[in-house]
Amino acid sequence: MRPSIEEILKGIKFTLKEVIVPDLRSPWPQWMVEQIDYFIDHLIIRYQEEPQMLMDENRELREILSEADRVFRAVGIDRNDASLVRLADEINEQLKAQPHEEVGYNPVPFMQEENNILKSKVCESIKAMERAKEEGKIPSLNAVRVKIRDYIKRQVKREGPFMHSLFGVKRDT
Amino acid sequence: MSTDFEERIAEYLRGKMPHVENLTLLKLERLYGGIGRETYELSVRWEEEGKLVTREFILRRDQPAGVFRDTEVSLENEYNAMKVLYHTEIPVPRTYWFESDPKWFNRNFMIEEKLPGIVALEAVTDSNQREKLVDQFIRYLAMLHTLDVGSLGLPKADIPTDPRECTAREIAKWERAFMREKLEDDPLMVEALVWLKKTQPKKVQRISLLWGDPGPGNFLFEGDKIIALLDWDMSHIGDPMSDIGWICWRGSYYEEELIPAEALFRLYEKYSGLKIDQESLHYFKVFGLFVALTCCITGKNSFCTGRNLQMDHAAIGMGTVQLFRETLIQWLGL
Repeated sequence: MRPSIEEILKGIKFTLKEVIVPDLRSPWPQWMVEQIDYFIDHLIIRYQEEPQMLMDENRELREILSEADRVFRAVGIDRNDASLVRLADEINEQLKAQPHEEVGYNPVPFMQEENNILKSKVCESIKAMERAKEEGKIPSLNAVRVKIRDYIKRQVKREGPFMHSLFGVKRDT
Repeated sequence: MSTDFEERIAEYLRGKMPHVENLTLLKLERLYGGIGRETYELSVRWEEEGKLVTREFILRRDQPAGVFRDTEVSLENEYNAMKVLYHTEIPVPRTYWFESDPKWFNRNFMIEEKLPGIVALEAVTDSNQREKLVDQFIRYLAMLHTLDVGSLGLPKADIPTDPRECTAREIAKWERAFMREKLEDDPLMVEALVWLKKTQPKKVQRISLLWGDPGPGNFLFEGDKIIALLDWDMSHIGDPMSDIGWICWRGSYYEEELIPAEALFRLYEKYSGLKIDQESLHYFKVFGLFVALTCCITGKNSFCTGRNLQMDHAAIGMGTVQLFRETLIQWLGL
C-alpha cells in the first residue's frame, strides 16, 4: 500500500514545518509542534525497528526465564522453599504458552503484551532471589541474577535509539 | 484563557476579601516553565477604605493529571510548608489561600503573593553575581535543615521519633506510587527498590524539614539577592542528606549544576555545622533519581490513560525516563 506509513509520517512532518509553523505566533504552540516533530521521528524509528527489537528481547527473556525455571525448581526443592517452586511452575507455564500461535504471525501489540508478561516474571524472580539470598548465599541464584542484570543493561541500551529522538537527536530516517 | 476562568477567579477573590469593593481582575497571564502545576500571574484592583489598591498575585493550580498525585506531592503540602516557613528567616512568598472545593475549577489551587525577580539562573553570566546567589542558596538550605522541627507547628504524626524511620517512610511512599503508576513491568526499577531498601543509611545526623526539590529554577532572585525559595510541594521531614543528594542528581542533567560538588559540600558544612556523609549522599542521589523516574512514569500514565494528552507528558515518560534509566544503571553499579 502506498504511500507507506513512513512516507505519510514524513509528509506530516513537512506539513507541520512548511504550513503550520509559519503561522504560529506564540511560543507554547511552537514548542508543542516541535515536540510533535520529535515524536514523528520516534514513530518512524518504531515502525522500522520495533518488531525486530521485540522479537530479540522476548527471545532473550525466554532464555533467562528458562534458566530461572530450572534453578528455582532445583533450589526450591533442595531447600524446601514452596514459594520458589511455585514461581518456577508459573514461569514454566508462561514459557509453554504460545497465546498467539493461531494468528500465524506476531503483530507488535501481541509481542508487546508477551514482553510485559515475561518482564513481570523477571521482576518476580528478582524479588524471590532477594528473599532467598537473605537466607544464605546460593551461587546458582547469583548466576541467574547476573544474567538478569546483563539483560537490564542491554534492554536500556536497545531502547536508547528509540527514545533519544524525543530530544531532537536526529537520525537519518 | 477563557473569560469564565477570569470571572471565577474574580468571584473567588471577592468572597475571600469581603472588606473590599469593586474588585476587578485586570490581567491573567499563564507563566510557562515547569511541568508540575499551572502557574498564573494575576493583577487585581479593588477599593479599600476609599483608596484604590492594585496588587499582583500568583495562582498555582493542579493540572487535571500530571507528573504528581496528591498522595505524594500536593499543593496543600506546599501551602502548609510555606505557611510554616513564612514565620522563619527562610524567604518564601506569603500564601493567602489554599482551595480544595472542586466547585471552583474542579482542581486544587492556591494563591500567593507575587514577588519580583526571575528564576533563570542560567541567564546569569556574571560569575561574581552567581557566586553570591549560590552562597545565599546554600546558606538558606543550611538554615532550613537546622530549624527545630519540633517547634514549627507541624503535625506530630509527621515527625518520626527515630531518624532512620524517615527514609523508610519515603521508600514506602514512592514504592506505592511506582506500583500504582507503572503501565509496564520494569526489572530495573525493581532492582532499584531492592537496593534502596537494603542500603538505607544507618547514620542520620538529624531530622530536618526538607525542601524536597532544591535547585536552580526553584528560587527567585534579583541582581545578586535571593528574593524567595519556591516549589515546596515535595517538602517533607527527613535526613538532610536527601536534599543534598537531590541537588547532586539534578546537577547531572540539563546544565543544572549549581556549583561543583566539592564547593557545595564545603559551604554546606560551614553554614549548617553538619557533615556531608558520602555514603548517604550517594544513597540519596539514587533515591532522588528513583523519585524523578516515578514522577515521569506518573506523567506517562496520565498521557497513556488519556487524562492529560499534552505531548510533553509523553516526552517525559519516554525520553526523560530513558536518560534517567541510563544513569540509574551506572549509579546502582549493575
